[in-house]
Amino acid sequence: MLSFIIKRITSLIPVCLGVLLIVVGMIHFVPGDPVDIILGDFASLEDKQALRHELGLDQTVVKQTLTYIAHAAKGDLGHSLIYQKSVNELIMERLPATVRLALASLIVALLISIPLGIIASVNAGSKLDFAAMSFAVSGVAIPTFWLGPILILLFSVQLGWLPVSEMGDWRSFILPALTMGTPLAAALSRITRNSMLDTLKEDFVRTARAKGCSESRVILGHTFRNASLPLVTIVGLQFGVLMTGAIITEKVFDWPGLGSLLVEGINTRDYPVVQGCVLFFSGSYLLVNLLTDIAYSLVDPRIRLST
Amino acid sequence: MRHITFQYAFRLPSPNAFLALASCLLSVLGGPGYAAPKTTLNVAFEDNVRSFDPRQSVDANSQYIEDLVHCSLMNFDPDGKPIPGALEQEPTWASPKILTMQLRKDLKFSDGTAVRGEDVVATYMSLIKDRKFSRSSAFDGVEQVESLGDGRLRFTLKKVDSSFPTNLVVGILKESETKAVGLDPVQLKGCGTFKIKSVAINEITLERNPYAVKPAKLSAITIKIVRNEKTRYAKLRAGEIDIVQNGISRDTLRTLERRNPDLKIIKRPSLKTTYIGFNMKDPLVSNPAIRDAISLAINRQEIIDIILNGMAIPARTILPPTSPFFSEKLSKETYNPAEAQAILDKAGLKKNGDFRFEVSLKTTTDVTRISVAKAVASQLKRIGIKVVVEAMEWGRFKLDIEQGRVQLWTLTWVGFKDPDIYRYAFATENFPPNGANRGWYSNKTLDALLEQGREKNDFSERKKIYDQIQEIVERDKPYIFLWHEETFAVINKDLAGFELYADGRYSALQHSYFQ
Repeated sequence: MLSFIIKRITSLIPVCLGVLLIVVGMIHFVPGDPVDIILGDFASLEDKQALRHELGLDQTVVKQTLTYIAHAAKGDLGHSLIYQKSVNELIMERLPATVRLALASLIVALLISIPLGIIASVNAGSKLDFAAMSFAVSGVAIPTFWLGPILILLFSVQLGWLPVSEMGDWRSFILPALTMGTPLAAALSRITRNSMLDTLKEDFVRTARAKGCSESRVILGHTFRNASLPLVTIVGLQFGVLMTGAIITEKVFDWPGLGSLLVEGINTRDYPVVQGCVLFFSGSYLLVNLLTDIAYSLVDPRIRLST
Repeated sequence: MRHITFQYAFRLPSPNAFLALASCLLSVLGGPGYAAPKTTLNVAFEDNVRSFDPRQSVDANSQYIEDLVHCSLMNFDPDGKPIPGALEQEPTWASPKILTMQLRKDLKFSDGTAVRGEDVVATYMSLIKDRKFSRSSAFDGVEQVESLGDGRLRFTLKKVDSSFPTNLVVGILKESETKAVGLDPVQLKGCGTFKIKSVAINEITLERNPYAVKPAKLSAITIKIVRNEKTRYAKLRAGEIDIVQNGISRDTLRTLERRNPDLKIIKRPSLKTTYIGFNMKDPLVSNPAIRDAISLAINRQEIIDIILNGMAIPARTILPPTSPFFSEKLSKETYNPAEAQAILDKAGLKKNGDFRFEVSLKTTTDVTRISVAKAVASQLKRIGIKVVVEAMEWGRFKLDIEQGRVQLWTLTWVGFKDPDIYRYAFATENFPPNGANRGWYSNKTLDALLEQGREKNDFSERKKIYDQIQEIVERDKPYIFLWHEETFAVINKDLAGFELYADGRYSALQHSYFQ
């Protein structure tokens, strides 16, 4: 196990490097000059050139990239051109909001998908099954940029039950979590249903019934426990996606997370912020994948991680 | 036998006690009756505040905060006319290059200390000496700033510049703070009506400055950064926001008033001029006949009525009609597609199939701008000009214009206060990247007049010069001026004392209050 973990962590480095090279190259070739944004239109040419030199932006893209990599290797993700703060500080300020939203969305997704998937599987072929799977299809199809504003209009504006946006108390998590969690719930409920259907056919389920276990114990205690393995894998991977894919939700709900920081960085050509965020996202995603693999092996003792 | 009452049996309090308890509950729960007016205002900004240091405030939101938290030597009235701010009266020219002024004696920073001439000198000298501040270049022409004692100040310029007083709008910092590296906004001591209480990622809170000359009636202002237009709309309707200025689409405005009796819309003319610019280096649009024809073929009022919801007036030049420098000699804009066609026919640009020629019109990705561009395209189609509308992200759009990869483009001038804007927009010396003459327009007569306009301090002399400048620009048409948009705000009906400023500032919050 330990050698597996070490090897996976080591493999993070070339992947992150590759991502960084692509992002650094792309952001520098996007039209727009951060110096124009910092100094404004009325600044003189000399002032702009002086600032460009001070920020190292007059160097070649290759040199800027190598300098950045050298600093990033020491954990220094650079200094924001616009916010006048270190990128590390900016990321740590916003990370808790992103993690909390991702966790809330995951909880919402699981609370919806697990009961739905189980009910659908137990009542396979019935109207309940049809209704559950219709939700699964529509939930995946509905885009978040539509769902979010609709939920706001209904629950915040018309009914006045929940706040419109901003991170605040627990009520402020409900709508953004529903927005992000619903598509995930739709996908997970389908996976749960299919996995449950496969497991219900197993001999041990018949044995459990024969032993006189109650139906709820058979379904939840025996069947679901075994059917949940694929769910563990998907949930782990999806957590990484939730962390990195909340950009639209964060914009609709004014969520002070990493997604909105990345978008602001792109709009203002804040190269260090964009590079830092992308590096952080890729590293996080790979780390979450690793943790998922480890969790998988812990849940199922039959599985041994191979190097 | 003891008489057992219901009360006694169930250990209930007496009726009087019940009444007392009921009164207490009602007062706690706020039963029907008078609710005290709010004292905290919630405002939505569309984008972040980039800097709280007035020397770095080049974006609009930073300047709005600066206006509330700091005082400055000069200020602007709701129409955009310069007025004394921290000065006793308007500054005077002791000589063509020397400007003198008297600082008010009643101004205090938010720690109670008086605003001194030395603070003003330190603020402006830091801009002159340290070039890293965004606003430093506005003071390139300043030789020296001196405090002459007793609040008297003197600015010595390197060369004559009559528009210079309009630059004296930088918030005054304490002398000690001008030397600090990286100002903490919460610790900042401004001399404005409010001070910064807290700064979070999407929220800034200002509280009343107790030492302001005229303390604010509002105890606090919370500025929320709400980037999405639909979210701003929802927050207005839900009552989470009390003011949104210009941040709601005109289509949404139509329904907002109807559905929300708690909100009202206020409007006024602004300092915004939308135009179509021409690349004078392009072989096609550098032809004056084409520019004349395009100007005659655009029905401005039609676009104003349909797309802008009637919230604009047709423009004849950069300056709005309310500007004292606006020239009454300019011809009224006319819509005459027949004459436009005749001009093109006479210039030999006859139709080849459905069209005479094709041009591209570039704009940003703003929804209203795209609608306007498409409307212009459909109007020009009527006279046989095919217009290809290209909407692009701001960075790419700006780069294309500055590098001359454009034929026509549409943009808006915003917040200009002095007619010297013509020099910035049309002087030959201001070709990109030096300035904003993005159409690469050059006229030596105009250049000379622009320098004269800058050098004259007398209003009537400047007026004559800028009348001529406006006539030349109207004749040559490096731009076609479309309209001056109105600025508008959706506000909570209970908010009193709030008026819009032409340049979009929130200065009126200094004396606003909830009824």
